[in-house]
Amino acid sequence: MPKTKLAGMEIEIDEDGFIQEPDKWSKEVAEDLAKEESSVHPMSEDHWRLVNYIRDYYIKFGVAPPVRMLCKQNKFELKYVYEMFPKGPAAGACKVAGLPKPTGCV
Amino acid sequence: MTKAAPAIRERHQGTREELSNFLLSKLNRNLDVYFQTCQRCGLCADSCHYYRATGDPKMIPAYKIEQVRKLYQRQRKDWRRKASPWIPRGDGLDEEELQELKDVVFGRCTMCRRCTLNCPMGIDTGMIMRAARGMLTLAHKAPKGLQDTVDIHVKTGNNMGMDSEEFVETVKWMEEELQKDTGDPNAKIPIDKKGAKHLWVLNPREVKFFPLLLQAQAKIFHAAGESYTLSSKYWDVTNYALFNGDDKDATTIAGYVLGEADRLGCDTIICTECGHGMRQLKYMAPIWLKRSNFKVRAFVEVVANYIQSGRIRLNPAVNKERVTYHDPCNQARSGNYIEEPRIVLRNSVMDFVDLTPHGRNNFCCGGGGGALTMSEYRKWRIEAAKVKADQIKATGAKIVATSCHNCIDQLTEINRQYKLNVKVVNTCELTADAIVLPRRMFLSTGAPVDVGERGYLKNPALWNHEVAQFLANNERIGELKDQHWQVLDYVRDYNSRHEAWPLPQRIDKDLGVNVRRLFPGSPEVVFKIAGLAEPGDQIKWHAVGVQDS
Repeated sequence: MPKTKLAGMEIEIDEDGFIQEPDKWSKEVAEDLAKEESSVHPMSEDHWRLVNYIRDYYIKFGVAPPVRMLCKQNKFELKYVYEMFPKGPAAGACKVAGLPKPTGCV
Repeated sequence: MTKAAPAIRERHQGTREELSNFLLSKLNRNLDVYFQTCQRCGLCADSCHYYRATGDPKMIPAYKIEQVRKLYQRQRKDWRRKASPWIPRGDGLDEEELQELKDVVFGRCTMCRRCTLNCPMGIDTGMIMRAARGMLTLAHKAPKGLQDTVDIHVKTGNNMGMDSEEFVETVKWMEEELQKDTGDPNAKIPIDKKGAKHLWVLNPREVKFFPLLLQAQAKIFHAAGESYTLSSKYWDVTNYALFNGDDKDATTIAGYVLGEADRLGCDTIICTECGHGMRQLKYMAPIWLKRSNFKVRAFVEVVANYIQSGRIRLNPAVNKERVTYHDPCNQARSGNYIEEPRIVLRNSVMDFVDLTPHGRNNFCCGGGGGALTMSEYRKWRIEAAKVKADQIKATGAKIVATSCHNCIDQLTEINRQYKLNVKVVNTCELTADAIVLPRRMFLSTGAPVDVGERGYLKNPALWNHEVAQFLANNERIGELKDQHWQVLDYVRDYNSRHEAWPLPQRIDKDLGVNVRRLFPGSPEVVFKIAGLAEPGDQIKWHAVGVQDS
């Protein structure tokens, strides 16, 4: 597994850029990851709301939340979610939130 | 609402003996012939996108086949070993060797089967790779991302671990969106509807992350008035065990969907735009499950059928930009769906161009064979995609459409890596945008006139010349001239006398015109413009002989 420098720390990532050491995730790491994934940098309040929601959901259930939950729980329009993370909620937002790569066609 | 994290299940790790036995169990006549006939002539080299992009001889299909063949040769328990015990037993399969084999069969081949077409012997590399992949899976050497996808699928019934409740909620949400989009409060996306004609199966990617694709397809079904249903339990078309070579898991997964088709009484399964999902259900499931009493249709095939039979009407003018189509390997090469997507796109967009080469000879996007789930081989995956990037650049297209969720993700990545500046979309999105739904016109007096989904007047009593001209525009006939009016008056008169439709040849004979030339398109067009009531399932023709008057 390659390593990369995020927020001044050496962190193991997979080739698709998903971090492999979830314990090392922090706000600074997320900002660094967001440089490529997010529509604005630094991330806006809405971005953070989404990222925190994904992370909490993952810690609770062990899987990434479906986009319906992202929209419903945070009162976001579906289009807005894709705008915030142009690669989509799976490849974009989940990466910033420090989740492993979701299974399936992603 | 509690959800348990889908724990990855326990799997048995094969011993050396078992690995050897597995390989031999896969050695059927085809495989044996392939191994014996491969001349290492190298004609396959140029057909492989890995080799074309890198020029590395280790990427040549014949080299990859050779690696598997060598392995097989050593497993042979023939007389020679008994007669000459000094020949090294060499079952091999040590760590290092397995790792090397893994790189070959998982990392350097997407099982796209393009080399099969170029091979003078017709050697199916995909089949050989699958045998070797199966052995590696048994040895717990399959890439983690791929194996996790299979494990979650076997465990939860879909490859993203969504629970049934969440699925139903998402579908309901999209049903609301569909109602908003079409303006029809009765638009439904049926779930668990027994006795529906078709079972529609989805890719979890669209349910979990891109639900608008689900809505786009439902809109097409809605416009066509299709009888279909989703299953709330097993609705996942994918089967990654096709790629990891584990027949047992593959059978289980394919059995999920077929079990639901039985439960709901559907004889036909419509697969969403998923390449391998269609292929595994249509061509592999009958072998795995030893049954063939079901039909499988790809979504593009269904839509092409709607277009040709006039069940949906499209206005390509809404998609003005140049569009090209990427043929998913599993659909074009392994499924023979070559004309269908082109029928769909030529009717959905204004400017359609093909890639060179395309159809059966199309290059793999680079993400096939489950490559997208194997992060460890990303470097090769992106490198090999150069071929596809060049192909797309050459067309000058602004939009790349495809009908496979796996290809979509890989194409999106190519788009970014090679800075193509195109938009990557599913074919169904373009079609759904172009769909012409029932509409309402306003007469010069201000009175509204409604036209039904199939293009018939909702209230035939409102027919007059203004309405007829509007309907003619609707069918792209243009301005109605004297001869048109003559035919329309005749049809209306005939219908009121016989309460049935005259055969077109009857009109031709009686009026001395050519109806099909005056009203091109579907034979129904002339009756729609004449303002006849919408017929039920069966049109009532007045089938009295043409001589009879």
